[in-house]
Amino acid sequence: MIDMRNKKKGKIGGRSKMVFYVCMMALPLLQFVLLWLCVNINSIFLAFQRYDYDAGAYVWNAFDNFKTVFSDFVRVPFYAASLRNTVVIYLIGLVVGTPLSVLFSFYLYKKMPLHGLFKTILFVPHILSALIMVVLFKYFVDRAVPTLVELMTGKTINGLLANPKTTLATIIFYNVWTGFGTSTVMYSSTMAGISDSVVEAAKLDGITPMKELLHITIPMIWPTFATFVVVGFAGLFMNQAALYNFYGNDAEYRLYTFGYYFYVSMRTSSISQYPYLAALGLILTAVALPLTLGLRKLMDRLGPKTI
Amino acid sequence: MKKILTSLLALVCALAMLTGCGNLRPNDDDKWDEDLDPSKTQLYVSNLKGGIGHDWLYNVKKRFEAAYADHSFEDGKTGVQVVVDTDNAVNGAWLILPTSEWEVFFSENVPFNDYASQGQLLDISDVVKAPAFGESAPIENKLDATQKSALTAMDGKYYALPHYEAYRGLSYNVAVFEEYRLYLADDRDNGNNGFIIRSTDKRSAGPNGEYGDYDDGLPATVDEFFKLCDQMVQVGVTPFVWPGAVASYSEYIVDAFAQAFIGAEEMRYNFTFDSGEKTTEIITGFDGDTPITERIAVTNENGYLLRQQSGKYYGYAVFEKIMKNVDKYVYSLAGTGNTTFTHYDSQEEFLLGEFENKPIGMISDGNYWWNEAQVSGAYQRSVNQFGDRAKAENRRFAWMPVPGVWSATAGQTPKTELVMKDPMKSYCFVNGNIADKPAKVAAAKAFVSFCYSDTSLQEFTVTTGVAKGLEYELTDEQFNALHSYGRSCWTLRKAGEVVRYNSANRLFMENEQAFSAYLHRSTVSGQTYQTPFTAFRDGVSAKDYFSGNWISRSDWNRDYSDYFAV
Repeated sequence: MIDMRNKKKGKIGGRSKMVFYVCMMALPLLQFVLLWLCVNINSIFLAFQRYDYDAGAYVWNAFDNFKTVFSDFVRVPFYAASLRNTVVIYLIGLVVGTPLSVLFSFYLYKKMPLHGLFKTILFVPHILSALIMVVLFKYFVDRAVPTLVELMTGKTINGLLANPKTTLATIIFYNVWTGFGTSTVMYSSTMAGISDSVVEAAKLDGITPMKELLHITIPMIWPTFATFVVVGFAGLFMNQAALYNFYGNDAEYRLYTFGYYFYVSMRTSSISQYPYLAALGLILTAVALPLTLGLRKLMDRLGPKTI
Repeated sequence: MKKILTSLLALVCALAMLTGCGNLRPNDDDKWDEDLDPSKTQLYVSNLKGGIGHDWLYNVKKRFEAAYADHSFEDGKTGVQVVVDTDNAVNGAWLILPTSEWEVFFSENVPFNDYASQGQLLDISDVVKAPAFGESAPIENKLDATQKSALTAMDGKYYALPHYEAYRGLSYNVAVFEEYRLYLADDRDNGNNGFIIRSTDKRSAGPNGEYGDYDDGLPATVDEFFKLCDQMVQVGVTPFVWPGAVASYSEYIVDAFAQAFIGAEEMRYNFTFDSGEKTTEIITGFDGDTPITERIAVTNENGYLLRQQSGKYYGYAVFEKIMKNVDKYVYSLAGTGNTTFTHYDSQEEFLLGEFENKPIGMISDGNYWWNEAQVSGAYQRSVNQFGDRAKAENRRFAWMPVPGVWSATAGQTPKTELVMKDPMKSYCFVNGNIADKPAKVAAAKAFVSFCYSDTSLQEFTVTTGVAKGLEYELTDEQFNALHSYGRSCWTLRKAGEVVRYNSANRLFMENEQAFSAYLHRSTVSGQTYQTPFTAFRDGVSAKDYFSGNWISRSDWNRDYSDYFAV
């Protein structure tokens, strides 16, 4: 009797599990098919085509677009600057932004003094629209900072964005600062899930806050941390570093990232130039994909083995 | 309490999402700016939201609806209702025409050949080849030969007509020039550094070398231009303003001088890539700082040499000199490239400076700046602050024809051809997605024909102060109804040669973007610059910047050899 009932329950449970699974997966799968597969398949085809004005359609062009892109890597000087800025912005985000973000999250998690105020300051960039944030930031660095410096020292200085020597650093600072909020929310939420008993036990053993961070908190949030690092890298060539919000189509080449180059090129190109951009995108994907997968493996390997 | 707050927040978020998902309005009619009249045929007209505004379109709409009040475009309906899109901020290159509900478009930066080649535009050849509403001569007669060939180059059919015409360069404040006596006197030895002493003094002939017209007293050489700048500084006028946030506006100065040096015909080679039997002067190198020049005939095969047109070097050289004196010549927030100083700010400073004892002589902007200053509210703010004297009828601004000659020797009369370059690619066209709706096609064509009658063209100019890109005249009354700046632009347009971004050459048509965007990109010592402003601020010389802008023969061959004659 008991076995029969269990069997029946198992069957019902299996079916309902399947229904639940299908319902839960349908929307993301549909989204993936429509918004990624369809869009990107078109881009992939485009990379092997050129626009024929007489036919009024894209026609097969073999690997010509790829040849052009490869020769441009040598020929177009700002490609090197774009690559350098893309990597620098990611690395600074990783090396400076991420540890600071983890530290801040830990600070908030431990409810240290003024944690509420800091939380608000960190979230402000996310409450306001990106464009408004950029305008406020521009006024701060290009108007308020020179005025403050003049008041305090009597020296006249150029704005931090207006001065070519400080522009890139200011843009990087902006990106780290505005990227801070999201990761801090995620890290502090994950930290909030750490079992109190683990922390209490460690405290009874006399753990210091720094050791708690290194030996308990970071290992416990490692999957979240690893996800941030890997996802950040996966989007490496798509990161336009808010340059469009700052400069529209007119950012100087020395500030370019590949993400910005793609964005602006799409806005300013004609139909005959899309295949070139598609080929460039495909090549960069071919570079980013194995590196991303490798990084994921590396993060898995570096992570705590017991989790 | 927390639960209530959380629920409210969730509700707000859900509503926000739903709003984004679709139309929450009670019925579809509410999305239009006016109630739809079911007894009439509707024609949906989209007009780019920008400096030109919508007033001109409402004027046409009113007259068109009245003219066709008794006409039936479809069974069961009499009359036509033009529904205007007042919120179209989409650049002409970004329209998704096949699914658009808008039927007639007036936009700028329109790659009409791209759209036409994809069958997205309606063939309007019959409209263009027929007389406009109420006229006897075909609309086609209002187009010049270059326009006719460029507009039909794809397959012999017309798919678009020119909309407004705009120019980029320098405008000056006439009142400031008069108050501070900034016009050059005909008597250069008059004891005032060659500038007029009294407003009645005879002025010099100006760039065109002729007395008694629009440019009297303006610099006829680059030397005189800088003499003017120095004089401005001496009397307390800041010579230039442009938006520090958009350094490309300063390129308009480079372009203005370059086209003055090159002239209209040789400018057009940049689009036609065909000089025929004629030649253009290019720089092949430098002997020290002296350009080495030669004259070449232009073909598709050597189109890359057009980057070396000598006039382009002089354009950079003028701007380099301005940048070397940036602290005294240029309004501070512009000269430092301050990212908060937008084109609206620049226009406002130019408008207000005269009244705030901080006069500015010239603004680097498009000739649409006056309209933009009205749309942005800068003009109204100046009126609110300074009353009647700030009103349009009491302001005096003019377009500045710049010299295309560097120096002149005593007794020589330098002459510069007046060139007005229109880079806007602004067109009117009909959406091809209505091709299978005869009533819509008939209404759209009737509307286009109506818009290109002389009456409508004149009304457009009187309303906006801007010309349409076709040939037509204004009556004296209409001309006098324009504000001072509109009168200046119209006068110069009639006196000069208009150069437009168009060509019937496939090399240009199929690569239009490459020949109209980022033209000032230059690589100097491995560093690529977007604009000469940044480069000159970094100490790069005009010579190096000019050379860094050249295209190599191998690059040209790689990109465009398909267009070479076999």
